[in-house]
Amino acid sequence: MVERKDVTVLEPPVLRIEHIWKSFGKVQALKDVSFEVYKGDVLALLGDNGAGKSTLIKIISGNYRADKGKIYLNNQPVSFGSPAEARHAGIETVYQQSPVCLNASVTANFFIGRELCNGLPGIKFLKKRAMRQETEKAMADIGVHIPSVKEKVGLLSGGERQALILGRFFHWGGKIALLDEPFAALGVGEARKSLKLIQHMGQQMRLPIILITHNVEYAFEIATRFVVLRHGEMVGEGKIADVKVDDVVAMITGAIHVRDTN
Amino acid sequence: MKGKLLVMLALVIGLAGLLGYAGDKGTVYYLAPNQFDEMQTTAAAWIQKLVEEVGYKCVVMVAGSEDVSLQINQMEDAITQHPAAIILAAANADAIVSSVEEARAAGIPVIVYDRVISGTYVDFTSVAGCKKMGIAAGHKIASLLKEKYGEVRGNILDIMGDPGDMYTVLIEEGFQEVMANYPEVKINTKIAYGWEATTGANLADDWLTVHPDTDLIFAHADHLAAAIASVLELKGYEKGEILLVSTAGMPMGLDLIREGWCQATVQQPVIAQARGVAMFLDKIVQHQCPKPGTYDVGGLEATLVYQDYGPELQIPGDVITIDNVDDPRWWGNQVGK
Amino acid sequence: MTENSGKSVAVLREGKLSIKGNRKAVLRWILDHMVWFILFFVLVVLSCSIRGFAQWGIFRNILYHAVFVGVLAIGEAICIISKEMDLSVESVAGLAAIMTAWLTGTGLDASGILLNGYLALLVVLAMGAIIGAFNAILVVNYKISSFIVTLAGYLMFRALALVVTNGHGVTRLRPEVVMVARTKLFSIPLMVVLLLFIYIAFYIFVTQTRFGQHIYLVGDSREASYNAGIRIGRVLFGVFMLSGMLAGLTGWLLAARTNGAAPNIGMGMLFEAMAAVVIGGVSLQGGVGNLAGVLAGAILLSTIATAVSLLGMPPFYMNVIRGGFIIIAVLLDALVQRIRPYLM
Ligand SMILES: Nc1ncnc2c1ncn2[C@@H]1O[C@H](COP(=O)(O)OP(=O)(O)OP(=O)(O)O)[C@@H](O)[C@H]1O
Ligand SMILES: [Mg+2]
Repeated sequence: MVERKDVTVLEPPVLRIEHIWKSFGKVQALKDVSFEVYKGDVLALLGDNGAGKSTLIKIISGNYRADKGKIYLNNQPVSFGSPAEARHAGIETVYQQSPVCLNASVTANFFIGRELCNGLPGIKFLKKRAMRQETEKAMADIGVHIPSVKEKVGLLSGGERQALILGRFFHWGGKIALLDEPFAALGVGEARKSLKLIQHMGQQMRLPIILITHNVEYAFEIATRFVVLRHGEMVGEGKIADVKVDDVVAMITGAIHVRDTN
Repeated sequence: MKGKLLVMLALVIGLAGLLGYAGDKGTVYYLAPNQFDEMQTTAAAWIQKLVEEVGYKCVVMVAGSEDVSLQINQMEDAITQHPAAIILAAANADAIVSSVEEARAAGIPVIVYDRVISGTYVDFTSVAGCKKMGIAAGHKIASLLKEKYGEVRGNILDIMGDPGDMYTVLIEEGFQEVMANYPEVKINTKIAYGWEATTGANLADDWLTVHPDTDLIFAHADHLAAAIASVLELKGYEKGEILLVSTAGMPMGLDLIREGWCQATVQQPVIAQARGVAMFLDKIVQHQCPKPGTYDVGGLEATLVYQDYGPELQIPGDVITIDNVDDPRWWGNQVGK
Repeated sequence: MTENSGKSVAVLREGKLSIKGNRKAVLRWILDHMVWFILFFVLVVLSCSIRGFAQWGIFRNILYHAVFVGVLAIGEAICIISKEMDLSVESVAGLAAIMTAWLTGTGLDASGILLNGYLALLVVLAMGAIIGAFNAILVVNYKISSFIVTLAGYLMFRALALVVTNGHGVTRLRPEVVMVARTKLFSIPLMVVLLLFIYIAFYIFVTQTRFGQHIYLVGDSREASYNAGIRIGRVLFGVFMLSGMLAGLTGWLLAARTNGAAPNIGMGMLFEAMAAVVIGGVSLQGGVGNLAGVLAGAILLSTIATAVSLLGMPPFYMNVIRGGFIIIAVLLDALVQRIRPYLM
């Protein structure tokens, strides 16, 4: 584990992953990955295609199980059997290819699995109007204009869908957020707004965030720390403030191997 | 898209146009239970022909394949049209009772064709007496066995039609009644569900493989007998080596007799039954009671009796063998020629 | 087809500016309830062209005759909305009808128990639920395709009933069962009232409750639902059990209607229910469908049957025309899907 003398550590890390290994058949997707995420961190998880970033996210979010290694949430060891369990524990995930229900309304997707209901015993009736209003508000906050939240998601553009998923994430928060390529489909304007919101959640609201992005400039703009993966191995870690863009790009492409120097 | 819709529309209107006229004396509906075999198609065709000859318009409704629920629907639909009469061959006699009562309450006479409804009063019933056909078949079978062994004994494979059809149930009743007198005869009863000819053939095929000592096969209808005859031929039997008896008297049944595969069929007087309905139709429509007695119906001597369920015209079912197979009175000789 | 719909889209696009809020909403509503307009159109055409068609007695019959397929189609619809398939409904209905007749009948081959008709209803509902749960276990726990599981059920369950009755039908049921088919409320058959009540209840269930919403979401995207923590297995259990119970109810109603149960009772209803579902606009891709449309589909089917009977056409024409309507409904639906985005 890398020593961290740069922050005054009073609280334990929100998330600690230790020696995570994962393989898919012959493909070794992750090799002995360990790091920590603290309150106030926006951790940029960087690496080339196939480096193992999404795999790591899916292990934390409960979609996959690691072959070896441990995950601690607020110092408690956890082991999630499904995304539902992880989410219940406060881990909010935006997937690289977040599946949505194309034929369901914007509102239905916004509240999926967390519908507001009248707590009748036995039958739970939906509070449709309240959900619509909250969805409208959340979409307005992220600055996306959608014709109607009653319309089905299949009619939205890719970017609008991504905005919906991000909006859902901003709305629900949680203890820690995992964002896998959240800007991929967004236009420049929406991406800017989303960046601002992520920054806001990370810095003002001190929500720990792991952000995967191929856009190193975005990472430098809002991240506080970074981890670089290459072929499943951690090849670099540090404070964004301590490095230059070129160095990080070199780590990603394999020109520098930080570990080797240790 | 629109063009196609218009074609559909034109089609529907065109078909509707066919109904644009009614006979002078009003419309009569005939509700048939199915149109599987030559017996049912002949019945429908002749009822329509004979009813129209006496001045009514006749519409045939078919209850798919013995679909009880559909027939009740059709009965209800027919009632809304206030026809002169409804002729009914019930898919299920118990199920249709309340619809029959509904029709009669609306002043529409109900005439039962071929399948007796005993659960309520009806205005007229024209039957072959399926049970009597079963009895006739039983006697013929007994005499065939006696011819073979000098006494009535042996093994019979009895292949019924669909057990939901009263026709086969009544024939079975009559047949068993006769055979009860002969304890030396072993009867194995099998069922060809849905009157499926292939099912009947497979039953016979399997049975003969295991029981080659079978003497006689009694198939409850000619189309089953035809399928069974080809099984016999395929298995290398000589004509008459295994006796075959059937009922209905369809054209294909008569051909089997001529060829020698089948020894006898008990004909159902399908056309005479229809003729009987047409003969009394005017009276029934005018709510008059026909007189009991004997009548000549197309050359056959029919008896009109009063049952609990109303007047019933009984037309005998004849046993057709090689000796009389070409008699022009048989309905099987009257259709399709 | 393509050319034509392209044209209508173009017209709509030009007209986009002139179609304002409310009118758009009205147009959208019309498109979403297209089946009802087809039904209305067919009824008008038939009323104009068939003598004696345009009368309350006929319309009442049409509704009455739609009851059985209508109830069965609800279960099929929610199965298909959840992206599963239940081919066993017809046989379960047949089994339930024969069970009802066997338990409450006085005729030959009945049990002689003479069970009270309403208790028999509870029995067949429970039986439907158990069969549904059985289907769900195989689909959810053993991951067998529901098409295969319920195909087996289709073959099995009706035959099972015939084992009990020796392959015979049973007739003459206890009066309280038969009365259900013969009672009228203000000249409307009780069963029609029941049909409407069941549709309203299920409409509210699928549109207004959380479970109902989950049926749609699970059918739409299993992955999204899974990620969102919806318990897919539980939803499918509910769906199959409801479908089984509705099939059980259909069987009971059929037995009441025919005062017994012939071995072939309800045969072919699976395809009618399926047709009602498809004509009603439920997509086999899952996650899409409106029960109101399914009801219209069922009524449309019985309308066609009534017209064919009145015209004295051979019954196979019925399915020729019904088949035609399935194609028309699906083509129209495709057209609607293309127009709809312009009405947002
Ligand atoms: N479900 C899977 N089955 C088999 N192999 C997998 C699976 N998921 C990922 N892999 C493999 O694991 C490796 C890491 O994949 P991962 O999706 O984690 O990469 P990534 O860093 O997210 O890449 P990208 O930037 O392209 O999204 C790749 O070689 C990939 O082919
Ligand atoms: Mg990835």
